[in-house]
Amino acid sequence: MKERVAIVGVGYTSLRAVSPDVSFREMIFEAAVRAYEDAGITPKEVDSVIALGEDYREGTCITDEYVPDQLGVVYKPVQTVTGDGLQALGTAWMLLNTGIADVILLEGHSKASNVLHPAHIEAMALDPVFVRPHGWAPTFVAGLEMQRFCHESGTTPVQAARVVAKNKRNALKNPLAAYPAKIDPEQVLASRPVAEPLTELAIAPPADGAIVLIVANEAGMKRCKGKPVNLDGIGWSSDSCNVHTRTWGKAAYTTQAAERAYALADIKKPADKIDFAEVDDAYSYKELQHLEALGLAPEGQAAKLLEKGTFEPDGDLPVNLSGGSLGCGSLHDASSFRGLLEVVLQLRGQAGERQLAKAKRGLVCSWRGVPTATGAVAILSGR
Amino acid sequence: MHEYLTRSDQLRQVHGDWQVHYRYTYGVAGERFFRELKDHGHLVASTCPKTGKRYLPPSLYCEDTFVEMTEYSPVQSPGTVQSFTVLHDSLENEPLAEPIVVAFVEFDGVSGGLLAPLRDVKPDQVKIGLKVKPAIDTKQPTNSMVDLAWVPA
Amino acid sequence: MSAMNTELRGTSLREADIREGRALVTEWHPKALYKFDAGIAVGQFLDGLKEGKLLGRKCNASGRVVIPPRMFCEISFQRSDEWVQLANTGTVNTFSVSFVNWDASRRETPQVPAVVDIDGTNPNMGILHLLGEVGETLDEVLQRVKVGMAVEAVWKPAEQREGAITDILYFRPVGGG
Repeated sequence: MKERVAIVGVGYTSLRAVSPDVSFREMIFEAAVRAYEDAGITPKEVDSVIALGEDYREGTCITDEYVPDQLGVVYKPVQTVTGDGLQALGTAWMLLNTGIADVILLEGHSKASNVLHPAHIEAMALDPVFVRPHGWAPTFVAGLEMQRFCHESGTTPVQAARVVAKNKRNALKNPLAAYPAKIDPEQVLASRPVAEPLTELAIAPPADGAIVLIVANEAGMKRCKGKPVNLDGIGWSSDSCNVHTRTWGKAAYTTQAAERAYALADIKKPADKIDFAEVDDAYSYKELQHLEALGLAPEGQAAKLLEKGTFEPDGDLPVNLSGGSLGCGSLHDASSFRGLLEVVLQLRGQAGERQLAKAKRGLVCSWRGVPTATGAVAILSGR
Repeated sequence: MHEYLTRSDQLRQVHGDWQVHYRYTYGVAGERFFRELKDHGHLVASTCPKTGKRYLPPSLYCEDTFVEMTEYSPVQSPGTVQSFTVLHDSLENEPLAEPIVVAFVEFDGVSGGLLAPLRDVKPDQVKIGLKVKPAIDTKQPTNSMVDLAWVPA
Repeated sequence: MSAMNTELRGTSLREADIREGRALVTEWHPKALYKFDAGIAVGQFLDGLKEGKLLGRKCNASGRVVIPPRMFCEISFQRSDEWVQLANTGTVNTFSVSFVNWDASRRETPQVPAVVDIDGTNPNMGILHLLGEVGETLDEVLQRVKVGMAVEAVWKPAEQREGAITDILYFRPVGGG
């Protein structure tokens, strides 16, 4: 990496199924106040702002215009990335490397509870001529993917269901998680089928919440008092956006994104160098598919390693200590901010009950959800 | 008047309804695909004149060479189920009256494939690798994808 | 419509081409429905509207009184401090004379959207609403309405109010239309 870039402040609300007592602005304000406190700065120190937002999910067009007030950054440069949280982090990294900005605020939130027909919104991403007219709920894309992934990797639905059990159990130790539970794989498989082999409990439910991150380069860090966590590498990629030509069984976008992130971080053997990871688990099998694509599990082996306990909190490579989206709730594009948050807290030694004894380097792997083939990878380390 | 809302009877919501209506033209290749479907009851792919690569659904430009494709040719059945799912939910997240078997089918020598419902077979009998052929509604066509389904070959 | 262009590639289409089936299309109407949490500030603002009141919120640090109210001040970046009941009057900050509805269909008589700065709030602290009783033609409206003009809210009868911005029918010139 050219310039040293670090996360120097984090602020968040807890994640809840519904949040009817606050507007999205009031929710974001709470997260922003915490982030500024954590970074030891005021809005005056912020040079530029990057927010996440997709009009159809917000219910308002040009959502950029609705961003500044509750962050205290009116009259400052603001841009909205209609992408995933790590793509926003990548954008921040680019700005910090140019010197255009030394301190950047990132904001991501979800008010999924306010969207009455989320499948209709998701369906807008399907090809309008060759796919959408069928009128199917887009979860079918995840069902197709899982079927193919299981076929190619030998993973079984019950093995994928173990991911749900692990992550919801991990979430019991995360005060901000919306859906912690003690649950076994059999209960997951017995729940209502949605897009077979996916059952309802194998799908991360949506949650409301807001997360704000403050990121700085070396010059910007002088203005901040927060404990810095270094961004060592970042990459993002899209496989074929065309549903008809994409790789169904593998997360090809993750492999491409990881290559870029590992190259920047100068990592040649990721399984040796990465201590723990927050890996997108919007659907149970995705955690396993992503781990193989990241090179953190050999091809076809992630399910077996999960059974061995490798990815448990006391295993060789703890995955989703936060509880993941399955345990915390999905914030859609902002889910990766929840992953970044966990990595930062772990590397700072602030993860409470979830704290790993030895953690030097963490990885976040994100995915933009069905029906996209886009995701990103970020690698962070403590001093 | 309150600093915080601490009672559930203080909660208020505002309704929003985005009246967005779309009308998508099929484009040159899509137009050809659906006319061939209606008039000749078959699926067509487009061919890159430079590499010979065939595309399903057909498109105007080859994604590898960027050369315009003007040649369309029928796709030979049977196709092969590459993946499938049994879908139980509607777009309103309500249970469907009947689950739908959604199948992604590829054809030999053609890049890509098509998504359509798989009929005339019990969901628990469907496997990856199943051979299928198109069943096209030519009696009351809507000139859209809903005119296409798969049946076992 | 403009004449067929011969310079750009593509196929020009007219409505008739689609209606008469020469060009195939597919239609889609998503159910883009939302139920927005109004939250602390706006929830109470809407309750105020139902009671025929305009409520603002004051930040002591910046001295600003804002409407619609916010629980935070974006200038001082602190929690705002007090509720303020404001008068039903204000001044016209800007206005437009519109002959199209929201769906771009044509209107015979104009609508006059305006930003009304509410008395007792900071400068340029306006709400977007309609002016009424200001004329039926472009000329009449331009004669009657001036930037800076004093206006007052005209409310729906109490039993028709719902707790929505439309509980105010429009703002009219003070002293009658």
